Amino acid sequence: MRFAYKNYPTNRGGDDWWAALPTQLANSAKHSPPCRKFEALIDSGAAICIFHSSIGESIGLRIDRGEEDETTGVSGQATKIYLHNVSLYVPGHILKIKAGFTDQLPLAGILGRAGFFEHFKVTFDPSSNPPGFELERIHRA
Amino acid sequence: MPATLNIARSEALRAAPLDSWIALAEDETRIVATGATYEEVSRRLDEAGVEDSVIIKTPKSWIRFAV
Repeated sequence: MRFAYKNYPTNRGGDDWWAALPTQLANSAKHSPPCRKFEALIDSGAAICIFHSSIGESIGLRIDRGEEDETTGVSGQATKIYLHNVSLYVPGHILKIKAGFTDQLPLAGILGRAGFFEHFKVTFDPSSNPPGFELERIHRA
Repeated sequence: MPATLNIARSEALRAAPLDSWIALAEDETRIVATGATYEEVSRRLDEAGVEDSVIIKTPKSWIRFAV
């Protein structure tokens, strides 16, 4: 399945683009329906999927009762996250994953290697017109 | 930047409140709800009867993002 890149303004006056997907989460423990769609950045540099605590709270997670972990970004500063089991909805697919939650995330969510890239072959092609990327589900025995 | 990108989307995002949660309409050209939390935006969409939208968290500034 092919998706177009999403464009965003920059403080330098132009536009930037990200590979992003409309994403939903559901609380696996409560078998609740998925939340409303939000935009999550596809980020092969992220070890795991991380979402803003605000989304986790909306599906009934007690964020600080999750397993504690830490991540770090380009600043090198550690950020505390809490891990929870959730159902991840991306177009055409539902995955059971363990994801991190933090209120320090400057965006709604990041789709990283564990939980997302382990399930998809992702082909980025920013040179095409329109620029986009393809997702191909990987089914491992 | 290729002309095929959704410039109306960028303009809507540029006009959006920073460090907030917003919802874009299905065609991603206008804001249909804003709030301080994801839950608040979601509730406002429910109240307005908006079925299809996408929720975005806006950053404190539109500094280019590197993760």
